[in-house]
Amino acid sequence: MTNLMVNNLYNVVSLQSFTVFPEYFITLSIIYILIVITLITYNSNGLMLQKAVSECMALTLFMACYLILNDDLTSASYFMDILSFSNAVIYDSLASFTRFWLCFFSGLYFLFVADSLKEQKLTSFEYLIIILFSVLGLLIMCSSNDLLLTYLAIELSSLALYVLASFKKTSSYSVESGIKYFITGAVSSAFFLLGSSFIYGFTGSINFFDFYRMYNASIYDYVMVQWFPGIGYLPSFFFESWLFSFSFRASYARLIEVYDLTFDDLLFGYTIDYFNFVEIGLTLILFSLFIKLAAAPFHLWSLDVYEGSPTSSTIFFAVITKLSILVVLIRLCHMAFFEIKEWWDFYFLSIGVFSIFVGSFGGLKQRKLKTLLAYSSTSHMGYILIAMGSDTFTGVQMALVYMIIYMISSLCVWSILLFLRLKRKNITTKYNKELGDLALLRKSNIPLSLALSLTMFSIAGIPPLVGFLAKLGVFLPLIINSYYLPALASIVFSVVSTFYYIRLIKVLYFENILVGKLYYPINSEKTIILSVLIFALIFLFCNPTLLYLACYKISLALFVDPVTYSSLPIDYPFNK
Amino acid sequence: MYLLLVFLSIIGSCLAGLFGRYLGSWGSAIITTSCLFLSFLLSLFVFYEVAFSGCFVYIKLTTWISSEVLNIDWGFMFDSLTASMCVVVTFISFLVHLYSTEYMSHDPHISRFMSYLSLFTFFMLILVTADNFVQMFVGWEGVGLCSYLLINFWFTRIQANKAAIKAMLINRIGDFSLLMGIFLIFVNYKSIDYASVAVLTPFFKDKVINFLNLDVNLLTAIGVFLFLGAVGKSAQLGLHTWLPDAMEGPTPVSALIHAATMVTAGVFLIVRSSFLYEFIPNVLEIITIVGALTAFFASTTGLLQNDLKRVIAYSTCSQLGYMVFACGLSNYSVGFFHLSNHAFFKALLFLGAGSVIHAVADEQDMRKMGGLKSLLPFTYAMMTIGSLALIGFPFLTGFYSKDLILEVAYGKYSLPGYFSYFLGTVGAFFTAFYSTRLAYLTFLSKPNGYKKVISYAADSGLNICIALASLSIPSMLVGYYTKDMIVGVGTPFFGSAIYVNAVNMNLFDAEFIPTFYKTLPVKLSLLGVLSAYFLYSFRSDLLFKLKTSFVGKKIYNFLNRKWYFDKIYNEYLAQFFFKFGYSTSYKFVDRGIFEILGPTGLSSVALKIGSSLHKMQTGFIYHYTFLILMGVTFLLGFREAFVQFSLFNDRIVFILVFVSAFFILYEPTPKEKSIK
Repeated sequence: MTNLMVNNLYNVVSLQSFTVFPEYFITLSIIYILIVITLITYNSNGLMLQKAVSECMALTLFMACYLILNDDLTSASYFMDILSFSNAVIYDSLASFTRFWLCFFSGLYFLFVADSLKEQKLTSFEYLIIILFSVLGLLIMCSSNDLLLTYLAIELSSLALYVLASFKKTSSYSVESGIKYFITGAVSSAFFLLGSSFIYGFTGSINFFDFYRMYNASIYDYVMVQWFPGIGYLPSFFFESWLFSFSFRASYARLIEVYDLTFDDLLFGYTIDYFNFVEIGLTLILFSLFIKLAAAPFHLWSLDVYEGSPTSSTIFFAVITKLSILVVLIRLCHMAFFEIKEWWDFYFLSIGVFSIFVGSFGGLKQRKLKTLLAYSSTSHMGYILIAMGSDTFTGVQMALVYMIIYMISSLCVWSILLFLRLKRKNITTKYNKELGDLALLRKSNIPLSLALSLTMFSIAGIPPLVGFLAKLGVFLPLIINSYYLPALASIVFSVVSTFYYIRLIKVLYFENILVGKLYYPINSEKTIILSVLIFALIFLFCNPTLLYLACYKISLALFVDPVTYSSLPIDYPFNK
Repeated sequence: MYLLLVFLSIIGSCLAGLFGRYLGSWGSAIITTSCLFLSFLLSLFVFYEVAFSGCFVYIKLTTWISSEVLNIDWGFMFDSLTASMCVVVTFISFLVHLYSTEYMSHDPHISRFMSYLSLFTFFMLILVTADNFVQMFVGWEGVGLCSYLLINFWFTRIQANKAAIKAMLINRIGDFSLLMGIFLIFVNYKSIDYASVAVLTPFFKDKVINFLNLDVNLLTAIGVFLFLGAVGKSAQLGLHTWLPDAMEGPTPVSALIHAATMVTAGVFLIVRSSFLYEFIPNVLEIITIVGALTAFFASTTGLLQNDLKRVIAYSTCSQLGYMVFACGLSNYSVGFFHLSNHAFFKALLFLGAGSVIHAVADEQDMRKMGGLKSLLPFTYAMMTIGSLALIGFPFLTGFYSKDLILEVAYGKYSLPGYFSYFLGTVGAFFTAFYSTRLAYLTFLSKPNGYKKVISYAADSGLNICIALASLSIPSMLVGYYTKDMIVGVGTPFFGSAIYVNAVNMNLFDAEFIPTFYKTLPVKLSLLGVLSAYFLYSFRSDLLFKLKTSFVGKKIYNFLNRKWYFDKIYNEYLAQFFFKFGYSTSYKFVDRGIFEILGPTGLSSVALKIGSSLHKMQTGFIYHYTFLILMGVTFLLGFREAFVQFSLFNDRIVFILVFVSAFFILYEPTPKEKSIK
């Protein structure tokens, strides 16, 4: 009966396309823009089009945002996960949330860089197309549900990023950083593939949901059978029954909390040995992702790459790409392999704390702005990792909150860095800025220096700005789960990092020099976007519930059973 | 209206203090004085309503602190004890204000002075009207602050500064003990208002607490700590040294603060806590002995002081001793009776002394006065009334309270009772002696001052005379009129304000002690007057011989140097703490250990770590990949070790990781290398 119903529905509507509409849309847009621009620039200079094209990209991304928001499945995704494409793509609230913010921030990014490309002499229009490819890869990464698709998505975005890093072919720094990025990326990919092959070799699957079931579902169904004999597993996609199963899932989670059962003992009476190899495979994948996140001690590439690449590329590396990696981490650890949390939380905590350490202390001696921000980004990733490493719902929630706030504030900082165009250039055109270059900004551009100092205060975590809540939220799950030492260590290190954030403000406001650099004013369009972002930093402090609630729902919804539309659960073992 | 009684003085103080420059000296003097006058009238009304009509008033103004069980209100309690204190405080404060308008009239900072005086009055009223220990402590600290400010009023005088700091520091010891007492009360009673504590006290009679690893009775500990607070504030033996030095302040301040009101706060505290002390007879004995010793010590020291104000100051100290040991003998009402009587005649004495000092061009040494009887007849009359009241001349105010104290001391028929009786009686003799000595040297002897000074000496103006006259009347009569009301046998005056255990009640016993002992203090006082007058008038050569003999010199130095208390404190305690504070706690701890472990050391370590981390950024890709591989290997291996040796499953391992990471990253700078 059940199978019949599902089969009928399957025949009537092919729902699986619904889950990837934004990706479809962006792919089609890329192709369309590529064709159109190729035709237009066949005879004329591509330089003239840069601004129009980047605004067109922003429009595309904002429309993708609209698509995500307006999707009926989005509201459904809070209580059910939808698997499609042979379970390779998952459509849940995490995916829709992160894809939305990814498109949103990428759109803002395109608006910000529109004018500066000419300044940086990045004249080919391919630059923008490549960025859009990278965004596509990142989007797919957000909703991928197996190792293969994840890998492909990572590669799609990474290949684009390598090109972005080395795009300025006239600059040897840019080329060098491209090479460095590429080699480190290759190492990362190697780790990822090695880990995947370990896992596949010992489990026979590459699907995240299979991993989850491997560790979990048995006891879940065991409980179902115990409590509702005769019903067994009921794969109905009726609304109520999903809520039903959700509540079971919740009660089951409580069961674990209270009795601390080991399921192998409970069910099989023996321990499965080969899981250890799966764990090593997982660890290798985690290392690969940590390299992508530039967490210490895997952060060293980022210093050179961020410094050497054109600033507009660096913004993309630093601001946009981290979110998708975080999603993959959440899917891997908090969904698929949550049951072996004792295994992976060690890596999260140790690497997280070490990242905070390196990010905080490394920036002390640093006078190059972009490297300084790279260190800062490393320490931010550390905060996110320790939040994840607390293996609680709250940890996921706070990591997501931190990530969004990180994206807002670092977009502010980096874009201000990008907006500062020197009025009078010397013979040596130096694009990269040092701390001292900002010295008299408060005289020449009061609002901009105010915006920069507000953002710095937020990043440093000074109370009337949202950065404070973000940091506070990271420590909360650690304290809940009694990880006092990592919490204490990271708090102490964060004090150190505050030093160089505040030093930037000191340079802005309290430097006693008379001759500084003059910069062009920025246009009103960017001013408005920037002020909205700065306002968000203050507003979210007053009303953080918006963000907290959304992320809270997501972290709870991670434990909803997915329903599949492509491969039906006909042969499910407990279906009697 | 009750609140107005308390708050009028702060209104006056704020007006004079904050807007003094607009009001001018005269304006601020008028405002503060009239505020205090109104306050005095209100307190008379309050006294009628509360003390005479027996209707006690409790006002809960607002909540101050409300945190779990800690609940502190701004509450005001007017029972007969409070009402009587209010009358005394506002009356004397009003007269002192009035007096100051003339006494300080040539001072450019008169608004500040008046403001401080009013502020002091406000805090004193807060102290007496509080309905809980914490609010009482607010007043307690407030009067301490005002005392500091007023002693230091002429802040350009180094002696005044020293005296003010001394007063503050020594009072701090007492305040700390008082705080400890309040903490103990809160921790055990979970409440700090008088009513709850009074009700709960019997239940804690046998409770033993662990204090500093000693098992002590709870009530004993609380009682001792509260008493130590009183010792500091009321200048009892041991912590008394600040009171004579405090005479560096202007004379009205000495009259108001260091004679009539603030120094009696300690006695007031003991009276107020009678519900507590009645359950701890051992502490009561301590109180008796300390009080008696103070009375004796101060009266002997007063014998040979040469500074006019210091003599009166030691007299105050001695009288405070009488009050305290009266309380220690469970006769709180008698102690309080002496408190209020003493306030009048001691304020009179001080203000009279001020008038004398004014007349002789700010000369305070009695040896340089003399012969002022004819020059300042009014002041002489007033001082004589004050002195006679002080020595307990029959039927003047002091007679009723002081003799009663000694009677109840004898009537206790216990060792502390006899002890205090005999010390007090001898003290009474000395009191009479030094009072007469004071009067003789100042007024009766031949003029010893400079001719210029003496020739311009004259009685003070109207305001001072009004103040003196107003004080002289109660100094004569108040004891007679209020004796039966306050300490009469079976009087309902205090009602529930004072609790006396029936066992400790001995007013009847005191009534029937042998007549010899009953009249002995009066006889000794009169003897003291006569002998002093006789010796100083006719046999001063004998006194001189006595003073210059070998034993006489020793005794003279011993008494004149105040029993060497200051010497001992300065040379053994203060210098030790000075040395400790500079060489140990400042140079070794603050600038040494904390500096190295703290700001300087940490910042240099942080910078060193920063630069060594910065060195990792070599720019070579193979270094980076090598580090990645090393990191992976280390972490995996470490995790495996962690699983294999799961004995150390606490997070101590993290510390090990970081320590080892430090050692890996640490690279000594060339400078350090050269040192090695």
